[in-house]
Amino acid sequence: MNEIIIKDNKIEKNIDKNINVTYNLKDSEYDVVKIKIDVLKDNDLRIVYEDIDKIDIEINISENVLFNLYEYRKTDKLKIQNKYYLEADSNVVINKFNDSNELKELDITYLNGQNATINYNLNTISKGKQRVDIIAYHNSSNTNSYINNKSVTIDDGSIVFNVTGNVYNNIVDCNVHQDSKIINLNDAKCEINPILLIDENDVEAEHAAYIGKFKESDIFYLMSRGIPYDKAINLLVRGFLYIDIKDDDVINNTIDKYWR
Amino acid sequence: MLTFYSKNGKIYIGVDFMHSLIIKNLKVSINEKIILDGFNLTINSGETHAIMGPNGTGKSTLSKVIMGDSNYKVLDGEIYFDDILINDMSVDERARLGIFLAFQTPPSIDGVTNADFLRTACSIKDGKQFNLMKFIKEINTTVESLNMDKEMIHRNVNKGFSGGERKKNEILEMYMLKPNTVILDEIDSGLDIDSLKTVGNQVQEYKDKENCSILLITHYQRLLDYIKPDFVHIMKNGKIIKTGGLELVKELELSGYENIGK
Repeated sequence: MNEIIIKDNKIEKNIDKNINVTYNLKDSEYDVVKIKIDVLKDNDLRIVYEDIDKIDIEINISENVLFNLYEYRKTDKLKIQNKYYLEADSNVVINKFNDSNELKELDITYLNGQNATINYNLNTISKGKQRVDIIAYHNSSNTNSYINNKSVTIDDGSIVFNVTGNVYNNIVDCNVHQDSKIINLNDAKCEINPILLIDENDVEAEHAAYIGKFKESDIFYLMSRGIPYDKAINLLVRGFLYIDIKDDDVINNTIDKYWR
Repeated sequence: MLTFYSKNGKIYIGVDFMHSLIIKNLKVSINEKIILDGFNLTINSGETHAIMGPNGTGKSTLSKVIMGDSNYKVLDGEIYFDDILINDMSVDERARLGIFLAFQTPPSIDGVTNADFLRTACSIKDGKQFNLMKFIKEINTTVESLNMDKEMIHRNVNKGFSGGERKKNEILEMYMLKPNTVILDEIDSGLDIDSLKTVGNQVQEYKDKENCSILLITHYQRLLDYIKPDFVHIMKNGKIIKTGGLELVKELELSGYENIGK
């Protein structure tokens, strides 16, 4: 597995020749770490963020490339911007698991080539104030965006998801799907704003949003098998937030840390 | 104490613990509406009690109240398990006493696999005695005997299961958790004839093997072809109005609920 670890303004990378990585580290505390990644052939990449506060990433996926990106973040405050450029017939799956306290994230996907597809999944534990803006530009016909977000709020955490899909006139046969869910365990004020800006009739678009608790009937069912309330919530959180980031221990340990 | 007992031509060896569930003068409401009113019942180990009655008479409410569903308010009365008052016990505490409710409509739970769920429940029940290899072997054997697809173990709890698969999953959970008091809430609904036979026979076999008590809630006589009740109770307006044996079911078939108890 190709891997980049970004920690304390340092970058460790273990990647093969089909992924080009260039970067600029911070010169001052006001500066931003910048990374540019070019994916030339089918590949998987895991990126781990630890103790980093500001970062800009640009990822270019070449024509006809299948690319899987797995991300894990563990920082106090993270301000991150990702730009994904997808060429024709490329297919990208992004799985992100966030254990940062405060988070401000802007992710923009440019579906530039025909038949490009992005399947974007962000799961986050919201312990502090978090805001995630996700924008998909369908710049070519037959492009597909599937955006899925999940959050569980605890402590003083809250989250806002703003998800926007753009399809311009004469860009046909696109699929635009958004699904955002927040399990609001601390009764914080949270928002999901699904936005579909579509100027073309020949498009399939849908959005779904849920903010609420776990179902009482599910908790009752688990407890009726002898599982105590806290352990039942742990199971439900684990089921809700599980995402394949090629390191199940990280997810299990993180969830056990907050829901013992 | 080790006991040897024979049922249906088979000899079983087990540790004999007698249990009893006693419900005294139970009065229960939900949303200010009284559902159970003066309900009394005693169930001892080795006994099978069938409760029948028209829709809306409180049969499912009874099963959830025994299990401790907080949506229902117990206004009066007591529920004892082995002389311990369990009115204020949490749902999981009641389950760990050995009370098991097979749900009429088991929920589907996203993201939680049957395997994780059952491993968690069994490891809590068994504590330090929990043995993962034994658990895997037992779950595989039980799945096979219930004619279930082995893949169902790794699927999310009841997610995408048919009505019949959900009911079989309830019986799988019963076998894995080995309760001493089993409440079956309309376990026959949603089952085709073959599945009904499988589920009915598996429940009866479990009862014979574990000498547990069974409280069976049903609308139909057909389940009683497989799970033989020692007592049949007719329930109306939140209480038992008549108790008898299997002959009561035949009387019910002839005269209907309207004329029972008159």
